[in-house]
Amino acid sequence: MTWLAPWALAAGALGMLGVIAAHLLSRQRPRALALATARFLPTGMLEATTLQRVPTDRWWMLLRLLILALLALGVTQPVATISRVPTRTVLLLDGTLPLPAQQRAIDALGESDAVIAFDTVAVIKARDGVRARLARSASLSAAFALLAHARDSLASRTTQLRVTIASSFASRSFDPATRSLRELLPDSITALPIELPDDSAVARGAIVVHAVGDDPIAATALLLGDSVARVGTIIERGDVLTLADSSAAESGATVLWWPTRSAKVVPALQALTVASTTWIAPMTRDSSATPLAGRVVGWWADGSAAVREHRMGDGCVLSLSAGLPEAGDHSLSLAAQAWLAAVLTSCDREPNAVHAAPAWLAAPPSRRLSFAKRPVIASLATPWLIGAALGLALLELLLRRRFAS
Amino acid sequence: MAAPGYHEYGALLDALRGVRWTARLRPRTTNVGAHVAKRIGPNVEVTEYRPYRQGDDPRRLDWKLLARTDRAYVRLAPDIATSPTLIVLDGSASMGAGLGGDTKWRQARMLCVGLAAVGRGAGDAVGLVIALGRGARRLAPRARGDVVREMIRVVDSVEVDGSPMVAPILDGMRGIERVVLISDLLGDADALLLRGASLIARGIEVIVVHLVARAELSLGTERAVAVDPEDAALRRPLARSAQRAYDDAFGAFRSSMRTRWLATGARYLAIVDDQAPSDAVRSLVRAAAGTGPVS
Repeated sequence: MTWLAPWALAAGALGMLGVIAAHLLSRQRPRALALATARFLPTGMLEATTLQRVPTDRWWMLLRLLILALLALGVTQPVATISRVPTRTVLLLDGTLPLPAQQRAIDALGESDAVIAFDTVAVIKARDGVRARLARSASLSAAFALLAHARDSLASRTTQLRVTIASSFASRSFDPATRSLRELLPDSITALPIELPDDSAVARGAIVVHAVGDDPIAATALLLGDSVARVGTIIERGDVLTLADSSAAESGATVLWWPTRSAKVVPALQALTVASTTWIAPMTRDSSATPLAGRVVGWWADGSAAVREHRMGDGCVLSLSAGLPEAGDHSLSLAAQAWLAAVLTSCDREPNAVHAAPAWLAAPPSRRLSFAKRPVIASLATPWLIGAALGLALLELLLRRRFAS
Repeated sequence: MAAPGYHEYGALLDALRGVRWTARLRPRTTNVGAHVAKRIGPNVEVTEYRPYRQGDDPRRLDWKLLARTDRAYVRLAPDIATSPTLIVLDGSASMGAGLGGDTKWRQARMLCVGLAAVGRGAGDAVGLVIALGRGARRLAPRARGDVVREMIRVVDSVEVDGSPMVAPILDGMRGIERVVLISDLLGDADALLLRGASLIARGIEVIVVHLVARAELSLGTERAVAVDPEDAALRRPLARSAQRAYDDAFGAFRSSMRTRWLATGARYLAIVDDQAPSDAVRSLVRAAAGTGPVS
């Protein structure tokens, strides 16, 4: 039970004290007696105010106290409340974070806190029901949309809702709707500091090239040295992917499947662009090849897809259909090396790195929007209490008139 | 209002049996009664002789004296006559209300009946006028035997109320030799004095009975608001501290009334409501006849 206007309790208490004082300071009017010689009495006060030890007219006093108490309770607007926690934290947990970082963020929560775990979709869970789970990509928009949808229910049993986010804020987790969805939330969002394990010491391994003969890509890969990808790199120049390639991809390696069958076509000067890195060289475009379905990560100069990325397990398979001339040293150029490095790191173009949270994420928007109108809290008991008080006051008036007559 | 029972009236009438109420002033009536009349007449009891004058009734000559001394004298004696009495009763509300109840009105009725009985016993015609708020109730002076019973019926049938003017009742009286005013004198006292003096100047005997309640003489210690029964707006605090001022004022009023009424030539007697009615009537009769003390 709580009161929306608790000051009325104090006012009611003062009023009740006043009633008791008025009944103690009774203004007594002695009874009237007929006296034919009243004219010979001196004039004087017909009423006398006296301080009594016990209140006079106690039943009237009790009735008036009851009226005042009901009136005060009515004005205080009592509402029944359920138990509230002072502060509830909602953690937006990015699934792309390393598991230890996720677990640390979860462990920092309290029992009544909630977690919105998000990758490309978001789910809301209690703190005890969430488990750290590694995801490849995440969508902040999904997290914000779910939070905006569930915010009222999350804030219903708490006096303060605190929103924190544990994310790497990778650029892929943003989309055009992210900022708009953020503006739907009236809360400040605090970005938790994420400590990532130092992976510089992780052996990346060599680039493994499955090729036959003098393969220009193999030569370029040799120039790159160790794998530029996080786990390892396999360049498959065969026509088919092998089981070993798939297993490596499942284990996290980056497999570049670049069949060599198109090498017989007369090459033409082409431009291949991957992650802002362009390689211009005489090449052939093999339209007959059927690349793996997946996200396009490389484009020809005319905008058509050149390189596709297919996620597989913890790694990925990149497929590319382009023929290179057997002769020439253009594959040994620095541009070729940079382009190949860009292709091989496209699977983990967002390496284990935490970006700074954008400034607009933290502060709540000046124009707050909400999906649900904030409910107006009203006391159901107030009209009944005030009505009862007015009814008793009317009853007292009638009774006094009756007794007076 | 509790009326005295017939047995109380009976006890009063028994106690007053034999009481004579002699008229202080000689009545001018011609009816033969018990009072010495103002008129000189051929009475049996000779009081004086005078020489016969032409025109005197020869039957009044003292023939024996004429025979012995040869002088013609007539025997003279004062006549006896009745004294028609009118009892004026103040029926204002103040007579019926008081700290002790309606004891003043009760005493007034007893006095009225007692005086009527005494007057009737002397053969006088006795009448009654009760001044009430809604008008006067009148009973014409009669000498019949049932006049006392009729008076009892009348005084028991009325209830005091209002604030009537008593003085106008005293105007235009004819054939009345004696007026008894029973009142607490809290109404039109000044007008009553004027009318009373006028009556006395006309040779009518006026007897004023000033009724006072015992509770009015001693207010007691109860805290209350005293309300004048004839004027509800007149409200005064009744407290012990007011006793002295009240005694002074009320005493001055009573003293003033007594002095002023006596100055007019009236007989004035203050009667307290707790006085035995028979004693009060005896005192009144004595005072009226001039043989008793005037209080």
